[in-house]
Amino acid sequence: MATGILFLGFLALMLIGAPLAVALGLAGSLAILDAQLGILSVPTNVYTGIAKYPLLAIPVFILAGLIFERAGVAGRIVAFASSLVGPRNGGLAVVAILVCMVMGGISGSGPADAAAVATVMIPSMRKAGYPAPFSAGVIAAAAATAILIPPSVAFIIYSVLVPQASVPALFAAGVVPGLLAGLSLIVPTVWLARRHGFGLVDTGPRPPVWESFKGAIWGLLAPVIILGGLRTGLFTPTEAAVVAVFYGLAVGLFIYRTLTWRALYEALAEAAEMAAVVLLILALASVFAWAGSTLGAFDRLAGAAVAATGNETLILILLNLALLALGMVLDAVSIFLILLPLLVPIMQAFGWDPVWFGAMITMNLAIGQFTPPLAVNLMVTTRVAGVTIESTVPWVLWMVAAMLGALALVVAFPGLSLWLPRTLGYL
Amino acid sequence: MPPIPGPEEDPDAPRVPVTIERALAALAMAAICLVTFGNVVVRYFTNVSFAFTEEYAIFLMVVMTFLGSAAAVAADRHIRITALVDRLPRAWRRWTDVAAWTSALIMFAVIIWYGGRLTYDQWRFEETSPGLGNPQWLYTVWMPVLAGVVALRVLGRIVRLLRRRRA
Amino acid sequence: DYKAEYKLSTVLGKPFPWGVGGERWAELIREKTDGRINVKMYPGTSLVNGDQTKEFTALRQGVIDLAIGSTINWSPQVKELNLFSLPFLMPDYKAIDALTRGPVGEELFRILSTKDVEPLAWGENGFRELSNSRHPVRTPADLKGLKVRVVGSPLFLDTFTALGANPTQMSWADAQPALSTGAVDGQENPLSVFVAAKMATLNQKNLTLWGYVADPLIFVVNKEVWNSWSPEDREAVRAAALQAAEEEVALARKGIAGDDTSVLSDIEGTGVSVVRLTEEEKDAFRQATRAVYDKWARQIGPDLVKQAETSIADRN
Ligand code: NA
Ligand code: NA
Repeated sequence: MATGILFLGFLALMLIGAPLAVALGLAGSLAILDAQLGILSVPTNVYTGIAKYPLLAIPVFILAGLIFERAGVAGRIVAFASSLVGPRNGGLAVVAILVCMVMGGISGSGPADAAAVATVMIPSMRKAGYPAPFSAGVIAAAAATAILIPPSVAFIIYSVLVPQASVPALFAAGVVPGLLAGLSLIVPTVWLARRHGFGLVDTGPRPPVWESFKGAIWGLLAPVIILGGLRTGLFTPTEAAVVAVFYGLAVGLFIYRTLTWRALYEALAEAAEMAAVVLLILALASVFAWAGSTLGAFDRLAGAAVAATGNETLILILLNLALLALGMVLDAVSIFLILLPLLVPIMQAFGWDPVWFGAMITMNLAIGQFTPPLAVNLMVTTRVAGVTIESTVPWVLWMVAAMLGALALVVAFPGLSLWLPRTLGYL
Repeated sequence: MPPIPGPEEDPDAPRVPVTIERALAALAMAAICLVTFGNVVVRYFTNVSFAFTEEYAIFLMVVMTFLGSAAAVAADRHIRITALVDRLPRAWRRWTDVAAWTSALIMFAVIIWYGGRLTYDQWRFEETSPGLGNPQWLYTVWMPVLAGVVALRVLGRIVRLLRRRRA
Repeated sequence: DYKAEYKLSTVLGKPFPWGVGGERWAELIREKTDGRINVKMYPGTSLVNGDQTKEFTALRQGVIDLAIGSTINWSPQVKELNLFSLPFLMPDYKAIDALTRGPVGEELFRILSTKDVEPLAWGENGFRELSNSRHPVRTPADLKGLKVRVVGSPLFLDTFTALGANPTQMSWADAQPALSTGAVDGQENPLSVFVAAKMATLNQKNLTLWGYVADPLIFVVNKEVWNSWSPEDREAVRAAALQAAEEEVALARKGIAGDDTSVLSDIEGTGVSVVRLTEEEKDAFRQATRAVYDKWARQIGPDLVKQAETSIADRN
């Protein structure tokens, strides 16, 4: 009965358009009331669901991404990438992908990456003859690598929910899948651009390599500082995030001199609001998760799933299909919070490596970030481009197919994600 | 993941501007960064322990979550699925919206009431914080109080929805 | 009116003695009450979202029905439990027993029973030993500047600060990567945790057996739940707690205390250098933390501390 209230209540609330956090928290509260588990567990869970030291990294990494965006780092990396790639057919689209990946090494969230790159790139891509829906699709897809290439909000949350997988190990495990995902996009992008003759308009002289490198170096150093600091043991993930913030501030205020105090206030307020949305889901999802695990609902469901299929490969494929389907309508953090209590017992039943599993799920959810109809990254880029999500579909489907290919490799060869964390001694 | 941009011209825009919540949330965010950064600096350049400040940073994160949530309610930026209700007839849509936000009101009322009980218990039993030994209720009390701010924002939405129906 | 299932909270699960003791208590309760009381264990303090220091509040509020709690974790709510964290109060296992099985134990149980819980038996997490990645620690001077992760209590911050170390409060989830990357140099935990958490692989190659504090466990039941049971079931649960606790203490000391030191030789086998302090060396640490001891003795209650000192002095 209480289990029914938990799942059906959540579904009903979600379908009438209640905020996801509320749907999770209220369904959990009702189940707790019905099963008389002690209603005071609700405020306790809400508080302890957020008041965790590792979670501090989430708001701070979000802020770091915004500060680098406001400081004008993206524009300088665009100039540098353009100077390397040159004015080729499809060249600017490739530049967009590379810039998304570099910015993904600073930002921890896909939509933030998408916003930073789209504002800079879509106008120049339009001038070069790329249709706006195509540009919006490419950038949305490439920005999805931000949750794979460290830092990553998704990995931090995964680590909090699955403590066996440490944040540094997960960050390392995301590097190769993230690069693979980004590079896989180049194939359909160049092919589509050549076939349709996009990007043939001459947009002026190629920027000089050395000059643009000097402009971009401060941005390019940020991922090095974050990852290097984690690797050498100089910082915990939370400290790495805050060092990135102050580094970005220094670059924006004193080197580029583009950041105003007003812009800084706006970045603080916006980051606070964006983080609050994630953290409120975390807080109320912990009520849902508490109710589900105390009722034993997740264990029973996972057991049933394992028993019904029994076959490791089959359940892995089904799991990926289910995640992809969910990724079409929900965002990564919510999927983690709803599904992980269910997936962890399955992972344990088959003895899968928790770090590899985290990288795989996250890659799946990255694809979901640009798969219509509900695709957070596409929402951002289409808004910047002034086009509809529907108009991007013919282009975006190719990107989805390409990244699915990269995902298949990561699923089939765990070594691809586990090689780096092993080499760095995290596993 | 956020941000899901809110509608550009929101007919449900609140009358009480969200500037206060936004400014306080920004302040909390700035304080979190300063405290954490101070911790790094002090730890690496001196032998003084500054680690107790972690307790404040975590508390500030709770404060920021509720303040930011209030601002996000006002701007309709919380993640919710409207794909289904968007396909309903206009009159129905209004009622699903009222129901959705009423459920949010109930949720925050639960946090206000039972969060208050939790705070009261911590005060009554003189519970201290694990890191610094401060009275724990001084931290916890902000959860029900700020949930009240979020609830007022939700209430504002419901009132505007109902008014729009009458108009 | 009995519940279908009662929730038992512990911090560690199997194979730690703590978790073994929890499962044993649940099993014995089922046996001794002929299945009338059905207990399920939730390790990892998952009932309070992993936040160990919130366990006691949740227990008092009925969110948790039964618990085997640590005196350190419950000290924010029961300040007298800081007694066991007074540096170098208990020199050996007999001293722990003199406290838990004597008038101090009775007094602490009396205090606990005024806080909506029914305390039943004393278990053990063990003496907490110091490890670090830098160098062997033999004197307080060796601790100077070492970054040490400690658990949540202001008393621990005071102790390590007095020794010249740089204590850092960190959750366990954060501590592991911090240790492996060297962001934090050392930690302190019972030997059973040192072994089960594979501390040697986290660069913790220097272990100092200084036994500065010990962490007894307490078997308790929420008062309302306790009162809802029939007198004979209450006695059955109490008997089960006493038996499970006795087995748990034995397990916690196995391979560490007395003639059997196999755990220590296993630890040395993983390349860890173990420093065993002499009484004089221990005394240097005791002197260095004396002010902390006195300050906290006043907060805990001078009478209780006096009683504890007497019990320890009179141990046989
Ligand atoms: Na990233
Ligand atoms: Na999607």
